[in-house]
Amino acid sequence: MIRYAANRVLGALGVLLVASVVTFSIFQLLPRVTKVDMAFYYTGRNTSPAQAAAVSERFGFDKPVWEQYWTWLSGIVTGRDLGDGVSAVHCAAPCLGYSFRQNRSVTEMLVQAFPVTLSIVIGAAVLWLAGGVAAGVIAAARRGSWFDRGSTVISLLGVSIPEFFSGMLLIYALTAGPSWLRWYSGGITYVPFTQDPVRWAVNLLPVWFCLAFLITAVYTRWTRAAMLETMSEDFITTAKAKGLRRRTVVGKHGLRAVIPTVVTLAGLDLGALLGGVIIVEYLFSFPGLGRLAYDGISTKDLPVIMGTTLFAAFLIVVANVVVDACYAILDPRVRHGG
Amino acid sequence: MKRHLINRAVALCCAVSLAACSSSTAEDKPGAPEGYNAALQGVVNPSQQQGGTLKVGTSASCDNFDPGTTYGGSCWFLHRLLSRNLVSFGKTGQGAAAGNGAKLQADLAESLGQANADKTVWTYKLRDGLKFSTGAPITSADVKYAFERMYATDVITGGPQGYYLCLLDKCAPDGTPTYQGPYKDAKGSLSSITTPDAKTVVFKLTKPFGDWDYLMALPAAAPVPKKNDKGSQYGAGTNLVSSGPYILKTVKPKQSVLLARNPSWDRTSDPIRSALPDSIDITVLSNADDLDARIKTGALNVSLDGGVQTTFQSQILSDPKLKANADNPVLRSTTMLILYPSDPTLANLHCRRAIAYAVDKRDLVIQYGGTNGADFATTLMPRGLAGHDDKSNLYPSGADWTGDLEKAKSELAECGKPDGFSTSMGFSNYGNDPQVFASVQSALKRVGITLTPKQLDASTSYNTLSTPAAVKGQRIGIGLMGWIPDYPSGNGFLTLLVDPARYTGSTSSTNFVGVDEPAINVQIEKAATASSDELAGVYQEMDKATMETAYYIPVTYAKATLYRGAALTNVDMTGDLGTYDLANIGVKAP
Repeated sequence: MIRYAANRVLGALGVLLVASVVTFSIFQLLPRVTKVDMAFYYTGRNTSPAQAAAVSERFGFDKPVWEQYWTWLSGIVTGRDLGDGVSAVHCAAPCLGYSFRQNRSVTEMLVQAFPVTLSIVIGAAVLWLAGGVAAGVIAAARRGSWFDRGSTVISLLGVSIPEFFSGMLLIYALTAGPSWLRWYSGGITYVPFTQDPVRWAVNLLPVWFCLAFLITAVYTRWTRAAMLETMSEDFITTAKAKGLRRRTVVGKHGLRAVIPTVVTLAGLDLGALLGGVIIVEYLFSFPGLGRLAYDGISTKDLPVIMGTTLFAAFLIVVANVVVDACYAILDPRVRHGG
Repeated sequence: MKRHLINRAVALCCAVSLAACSSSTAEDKPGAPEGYNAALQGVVNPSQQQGGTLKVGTSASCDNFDPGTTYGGSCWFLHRLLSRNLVSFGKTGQGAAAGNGAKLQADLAESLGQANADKTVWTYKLRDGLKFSTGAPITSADVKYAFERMYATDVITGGPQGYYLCLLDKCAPDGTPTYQGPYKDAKGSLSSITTPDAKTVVFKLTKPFGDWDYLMALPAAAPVPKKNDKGSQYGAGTNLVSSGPYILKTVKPKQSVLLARNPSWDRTSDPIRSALPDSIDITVLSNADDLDARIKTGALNVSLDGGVQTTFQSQILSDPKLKANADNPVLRSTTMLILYPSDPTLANLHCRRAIAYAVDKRDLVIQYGGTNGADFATTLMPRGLAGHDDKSNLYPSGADWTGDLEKAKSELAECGKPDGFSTSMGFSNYGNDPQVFASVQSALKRVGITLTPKQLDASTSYNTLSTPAAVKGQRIGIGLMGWIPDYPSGNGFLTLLVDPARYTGSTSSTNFVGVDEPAINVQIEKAATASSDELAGVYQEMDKATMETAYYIPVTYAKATLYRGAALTNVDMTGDLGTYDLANIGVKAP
């Protein structure tokens, strides 16, 4: 067991290392492709070569690539001191970088942005898991019924309508639509849970629906297909032959066989989404990890991009570990090494 | 390219009258303009009623309020509320459309700069009773210190220091000034700025410069008290000592900024800012359409971004009620094609002129949203700047603005490419740029010029198109750029494009193509010492001489549709006509 855990941790660290090297390399390649020195992204118009050189020196762009990378990597463990004199700042461990553009540590930015993304993803996950799995199970159990046909149509709609479209529709309808629908006339704004739990939930509801609509459709379709396949298995026929009630056959035997795979999918989806739901956060102007990454990319703020990428990779790795653990709990064959 | 500041205009309003009217209440003023484009004619809903909270929306977050480092348009607009300069852009007031925006007004100083005959020595005297938000008096030493810290080019980065460094200090050929700034050289100081007493500051420039007052009006020239300076941390969070009517109360990066009244600001000492609301609440929204929706419903009062998005623009134009609260100014900016001589074909004047004749300006205006989005450009200098000549049109595009193909073919023959040639065009992947490329591509195809696209990421396009090595390295022949001056003068707009001193050949430069033409250089020299009466003529000549070279082909003057929230009072324009002046807007009592 210890060996298994150690292998998983080492594997996870390896993934994170590769992710950081790839992101860092992309940014080192950028000036070579565009022929524009990195320093110019931090200077104004009419920058002299001397000004550009001064910026390069302070931000470390003039150092060898491996040294820049090592400085960044070691800062995660030991923290870093940046600048000197009146401008000196300390970036405490785990220092995932320091944004000179925003004069803030990346770790601090991630800590502020993560609860926003977490709020969006967890709420949406409850909706899509409850709605998607339930709809999929009922549709499979009542194959060919009106419910089945209706859920198929709605699922197709959900899959076909991208978030940026459904999100804009929601925003317009709820903030500037007809007066009877204008429930958010002051705009939809993120309110921290610690500040006001009710307003937190009320403002997040449209965001949850926007994100969950698309994913619920996927889960409905997938659960329906998996349930139909399971329901045609021999053990289900046996259960039915034993005279078990339909509800028991579907709920206890059919659904149980499908759940581990649903958990696997949900875990991976959660991990990926927690890294940032860029489109939804951008549309609703919620200051989460996705928007942080978007802003970092659009302003070529390398430390922010490095930090958000690594943190997103970390979340995916953690999600994988959690999924494995859940799998072991849900499926005895895994638990017993079968 | 980055959105930068722009210009503002002047309305005469003395301190005494401001003080007198400050206690008046909102009321309808007979004769005040109203309806569509009313703010271009004068102040809409004039009132000096104080109080309330002005709710502002923006999609561009201002993460650093250090006046020395900020270079974003919306940040500069906010600095008008937080910082005062020796001189500033005044109220636009009556006749914004007529070009009042190019004028300056004394702010912290008692008058505009007093220059010697060759414009190398500029003297300012501060008004009495000026204070920072800390309660400390604003002295000439604080003005001087703001310039000294600019010389710490490794710490104070990103701002418009390039305008000042070599005008105030001797520079090496690579642009390195002698003075290293107050952080590295704690005992030294910038000898070109002297402060004979606490109220007087004298700037001795390294060469004549007639537009020095304009540079004094940029946020970077706002006074900074030395004892509060935290280097790169000055301006981070709420760490800013304010000299303007408001202070930073809370700053939530990428979310919101709340400005509260500066208790040390004296209304009677400030002839430029009415500062009517008690607080200003700025919401940062990444989704510009959501921002428009909130302004439409009144959840927000005004946008700091300026023009509305296409969706809201359509609603405004089709709904008379909305249209009555909108303005559609021609901005002080020109969209132009840059023709780089690093492409051997475009090193030939006639090949460049062929492009100038072949461009279909009618279609380009359509690509920018029709006549509400752009106007035909015939000169580089946009309307409203001294030096713009409405009658000038060196490369006529025919009666219907679709291009003069005969002349284009004739120029092609003269350049030795009668069947046309091939080159590439660099443009941003943002906004209308891809459609504009397609328009230029199909227009030039009519005379045999083949264009291949070089689509650039919006965040890198300005740096790419302004860096000769990048242009050459990426084999870009034509660049598409919207050119907005940092300050509204011929120098701020045109000289930057053609001054050989701006061109380093390696670093990002505003002389994008390395123009070095004797006929233009003569005008640059004249402009440095010309009187204000002579300037318009000098810049007209400079514009004409620049157009002759055909390195820059103006295609459109930008326009924007602005929307005034229904609750706004005293609505005045910023000098660039790009948005409404937050320093003078008020809000009706709820």
